[in-house]
Amino acid sequence: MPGDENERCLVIFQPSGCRGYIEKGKTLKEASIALGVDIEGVCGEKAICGTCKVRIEEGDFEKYGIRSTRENLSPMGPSERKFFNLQQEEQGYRLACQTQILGDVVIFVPEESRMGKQVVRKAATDRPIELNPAVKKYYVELEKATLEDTLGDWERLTKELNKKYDLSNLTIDYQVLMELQNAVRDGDWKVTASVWQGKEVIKVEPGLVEKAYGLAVDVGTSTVAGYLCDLTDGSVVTTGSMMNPQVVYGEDVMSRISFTMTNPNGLEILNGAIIDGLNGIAAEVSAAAGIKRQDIVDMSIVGNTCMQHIYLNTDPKYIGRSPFPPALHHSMDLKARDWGLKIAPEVEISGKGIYPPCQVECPAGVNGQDFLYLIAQSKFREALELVRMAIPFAGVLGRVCTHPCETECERGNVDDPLSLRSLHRFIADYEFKEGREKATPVEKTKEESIAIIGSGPAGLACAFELIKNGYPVTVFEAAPQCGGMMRYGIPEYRLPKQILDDEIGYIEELGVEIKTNSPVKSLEDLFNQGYKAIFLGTGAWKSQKLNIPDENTEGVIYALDFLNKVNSGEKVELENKVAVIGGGSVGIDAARLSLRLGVKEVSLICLESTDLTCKDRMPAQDLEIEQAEEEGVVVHPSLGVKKILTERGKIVGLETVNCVSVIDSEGKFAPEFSKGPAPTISANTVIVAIGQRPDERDFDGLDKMPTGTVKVDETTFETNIPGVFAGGDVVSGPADVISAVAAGKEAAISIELYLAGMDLKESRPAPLQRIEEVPKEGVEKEAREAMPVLEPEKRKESAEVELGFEEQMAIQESQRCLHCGVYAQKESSEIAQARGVGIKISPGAYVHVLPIEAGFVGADNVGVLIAEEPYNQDSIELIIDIGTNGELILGNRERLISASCATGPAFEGAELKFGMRAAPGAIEKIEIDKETKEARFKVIDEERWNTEMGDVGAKGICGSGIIDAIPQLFLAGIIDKTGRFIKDVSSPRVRENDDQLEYVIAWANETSIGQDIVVCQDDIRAIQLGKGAMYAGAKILMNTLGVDKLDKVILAGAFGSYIDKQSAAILGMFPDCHPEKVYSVGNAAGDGARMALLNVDKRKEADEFAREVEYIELTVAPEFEMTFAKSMWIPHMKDDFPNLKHLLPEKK
Amino acid sequence: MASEERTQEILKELRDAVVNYDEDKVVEWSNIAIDEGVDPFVATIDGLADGMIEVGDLYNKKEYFVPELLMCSDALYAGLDILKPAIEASGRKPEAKGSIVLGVVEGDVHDIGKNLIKMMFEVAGWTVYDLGKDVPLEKFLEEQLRTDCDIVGLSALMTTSMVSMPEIIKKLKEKNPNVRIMLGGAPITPEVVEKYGADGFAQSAGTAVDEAIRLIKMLKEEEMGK
Repeated sequence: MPGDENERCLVIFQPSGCRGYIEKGKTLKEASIALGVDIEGVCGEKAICGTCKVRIEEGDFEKYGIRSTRENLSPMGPSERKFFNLQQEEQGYRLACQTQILGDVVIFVPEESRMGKQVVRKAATDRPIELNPAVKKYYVELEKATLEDTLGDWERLTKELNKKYDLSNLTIDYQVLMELQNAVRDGDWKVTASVWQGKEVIKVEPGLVEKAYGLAVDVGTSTVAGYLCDLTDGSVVTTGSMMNPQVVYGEDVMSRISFTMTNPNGLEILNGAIIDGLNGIAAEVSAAAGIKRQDIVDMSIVGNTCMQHIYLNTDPKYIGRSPFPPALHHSMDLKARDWGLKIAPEVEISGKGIYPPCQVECPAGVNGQDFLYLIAQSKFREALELVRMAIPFAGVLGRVCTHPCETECERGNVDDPLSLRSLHRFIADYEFKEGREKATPVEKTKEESIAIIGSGPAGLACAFELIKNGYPVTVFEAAPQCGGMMRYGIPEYRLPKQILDDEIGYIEELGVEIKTNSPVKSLEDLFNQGYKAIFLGTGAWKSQKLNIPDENTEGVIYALDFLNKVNSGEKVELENKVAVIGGGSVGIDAARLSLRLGVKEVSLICLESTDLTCKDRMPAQDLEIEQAEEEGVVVHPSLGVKKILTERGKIVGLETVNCVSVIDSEGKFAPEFSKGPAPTISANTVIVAIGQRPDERDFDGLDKMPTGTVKVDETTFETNIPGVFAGGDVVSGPADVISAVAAGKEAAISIELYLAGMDLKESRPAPLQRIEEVPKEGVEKEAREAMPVLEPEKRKESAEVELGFEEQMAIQESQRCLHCGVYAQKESSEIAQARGVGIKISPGAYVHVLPIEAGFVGADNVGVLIAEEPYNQDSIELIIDIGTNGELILGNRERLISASCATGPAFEGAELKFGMRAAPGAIEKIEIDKETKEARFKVIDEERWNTEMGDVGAKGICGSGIIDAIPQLFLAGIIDKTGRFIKDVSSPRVRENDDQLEYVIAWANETSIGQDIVVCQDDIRAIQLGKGAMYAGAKILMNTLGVDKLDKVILAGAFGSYIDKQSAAILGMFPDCHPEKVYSVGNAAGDGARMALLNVDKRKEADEFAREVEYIELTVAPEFEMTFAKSMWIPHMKDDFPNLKHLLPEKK
Repeated sequence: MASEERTQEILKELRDAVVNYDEDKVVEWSNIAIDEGVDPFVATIDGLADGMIEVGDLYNKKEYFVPELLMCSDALYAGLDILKPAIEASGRKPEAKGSIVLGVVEGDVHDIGKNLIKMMFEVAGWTVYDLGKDVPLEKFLEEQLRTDCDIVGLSALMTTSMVSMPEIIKKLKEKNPNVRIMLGGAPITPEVVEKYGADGFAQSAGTAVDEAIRLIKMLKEEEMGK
């Protein structure tokens, strides 16, 4: 009802599947009553009893076309909150009676809040099974170890097992080994060993233990059944069952698959749900049998192909699309404890640390994890927007940042850290290339204007923060162009000016006023002009001197002046041999720039070592050193310059001295030199790059440090003058761009607090806490994407050396992210659950996963196959496994073929007007009198007909009910063989409603939902589609096999045993067959799982025959369309039914 | 040349034969139409196609279902097989009412709904470019550009294949903002159509027919208006 969406919301309750449109503003409890869902509640909706707990399921539910989010529910009030702990609140738990519906939602009603428990009909059937289990127990008495006999415990055990039971070449599970010594001694050297497949010891128990238990599980789309079996006698000890907990994420396999496709972590969520479910079953059956879960030493499992993919945590995407190939056909054995384990074991969240290291370590707090996540989804612009929340310089920092984020990236502990810097650059370049829309100016909501002195990274970052918060900001720049060191200190080949210009342009577009050629004389002047606060970010521009003899000789120049001139377009003359002194980035830049200006021989002398792992390493970044060397710069490490050598007033070289240590034990710069011989470096020009200081120029009354830097408070960046803040190189001395940006941002926070009259320290946001432990087990190694660079010989003039990532590289690289922070954030509990808690049975136990036949004919059908053994029969058998998805096998020992058909959930009662799953109150048996057209019915768990009871309390119709209803309507002449209601039937039960005819099965007074329960025309059509698909599948298989009649029809599937065989035949669920040759065999898939558990030969049989059954894809058969069409009639358009002749009306 | 009265009788028989999915009758009366000189174009439009419109109405009234539709369609095609060559022989070129590219999206092989739509458009005199099933996304784009069709119809039966629709819709709209896109198939809802940015909605065979008939009616009205 799309037109009504303003007033009515789609509400879906799971696991019952009841849904309907509910008026906005109603509570979930009211909705549940209207839709026939029974939720507990004893306090009369007063939020006193807390028994009506439900949970919202969030995500995109493509099938219903809705997005269910907690915003679609009214916020939680205090009276409700007291019923939940924080974790539950986070998981989306609510009280149904208190929560109003504001939009479309999917609501899960947990077991404990449900009034009527679902009837899961998957009882084990009684079949003889030959006993030869995979796990057998062996009791042995060992010789005690003595000083004379110090044989190891394990060797002692194997020796005895060999002697007594002739077992050889045994191995032991590691987990079991760790407990072995205790077990041996606890049992006083008498133990029972559980041996799997005669190969591996998977459990050692003290003393004699005779009983061995195994668990066989059948995972259906709707229900999960587990059978606890005694491996020593083959008996079923206890049975457990539950709704498949994945039901909330979609009722049929296709909607589950699409859930994994459209929701991030969708697969993990579904996998986690089923693993929880399996653990629940294991706990339930063990408790009922009075044993511990750990006593279960073997397990077998079947499921349809989709379920199998999900419980193995393999992506089901590809089986949801033609040509439907599975990940694995074969059976497999895996350790139960490893089950579903993909990345890491469950994480305990300790402390408050929840932020990924990249964000915590970034001085400017860029959230690397989140923007990588966006890149991985090709959302490049969104990624840039996210980065811009923290910094305006993605393009600049993406090139020149010293990236502390990468240094600390957790991925670095696996293989290489993420290329976070290059990814910043990628998204900035992407926008630059694609074009950027002019930024919208920020509305100036604040009155206090702020002056910023210096337009370097610190000043602009400060301006950026303040303008975003609505302050009028003016930047004063002494130079002709803005950008500070980013413009004048970094060469073009490393940072193209157009990138810088664009990013500064963005800041200006936001509304920051930048005045170039505007040196500031005095701070007082600015205050007098009305500025309320000042940020000083003037940088450190004065080069440090060497203070050695002949430093004033012509030909000695200072790196920053040199860079500054080249960047300003001035011509600089260099001689043919240049020696650069200094191992930092500025030195490297000066050396590389010299090469680009045509100098043939460039040496770089530095105190530090080229061993980049030691404490005395060169301060320049690894990559720039590498690139400089590639280009031809000769690095002379561990040398100090003692003297500049001259001849006739011209420089000829440098006299050096060996440097043995740079940083002292306290981490201070304190170079130590040795006396030994040191090389002389030949040079005609010397470029000094040993650091810079701020200008000596004084601002009135500003306190300074002895080194000439401005003195500020470390946290607040406040100077001694109130209202004046400073940051960047002018405070720290020469440092990197990111530190300056961070200082500018911190100062901006201080300025805001200062203007608001708040305490600068107390009121600051707390520093981010890093997540402490990031699990990395199971992460596959994958090297980082290498940055493509220009070949060294092509690096000329201003050509940028690093070329940047291509789109695909960026996406690929981003996908390496471990999402460290996710663990602690919102989805954490679910993800942690999904990640490898495993199946909690005996720690050494295996799970045997049965093989898949083909496409949708999965391991559950293999279960049916080995239970029914059609490959040992002569008669032609049709085996129908009826479920949400129907599977068919036809043939005998000569040849077997199979097919799957989408029967839809209608057979299980879903998607019908009054359909419901099999649960108390469901109508399961119906009879209609041919003469009177009156109906009588039975509900589940009730022996009497409705006509024999007082309070009937029907709630809906389940699958077996609808399969009774349609043939009865047909035989009573209420519908014709095409399935259409016959118009002139006169009965109060036949009427028109909602533009279609319907038949009333139960009058309102016989129900608990206060309205008539009917079967309508659409219901009949839904069943016709399902049964038509099944019949057509059988027909096409018969044609393929070349047979025209069936010797035997076997109805498998738990549901199969509850439907009336005659009703199914008249409805036309399968071609004609003698009624005595139609069998219901119950949950044959579960029986197959049980057989595989109890008999290893059955496992071999499964492997063998699963591959032998030929699979037929029905929809591609050319005759499918018409065969399907004809099969939809009741029982069929053309076929004869000699076996039903006496029941069916005369053919016209 | 048949009298006006006889012509009307023949047209009625053709209509009824289609509605009653009586293939033999359709063949019989199509031959009579030709033998007695009824304009084969009139016999197609006012006989067979009119019958199919009634079939669509019956479907909407839930009296007919998929099997009946398919059989009516077979009957209709049996008639077309006879009448089409006659139309071509008469040299009369029916005006194309519009053109549509149809296909079942990649990963999906269920094409009954698509085939029914195809038939309805053909009946209506549209030019139909049928790409078949399991059609790669790029193919829709290529075919639209090649044929410059008015409508692209995307069909999917499975939720898993439906989710690939937004991409092709986006690409189609980028290349040609004027193309109209219609979605059909069991998992499609009006909300999905809106969310995916498509224009028209035809859920399952039934509403597909409805949508097609609406188009036919609109076209017929236009024609009458001329």
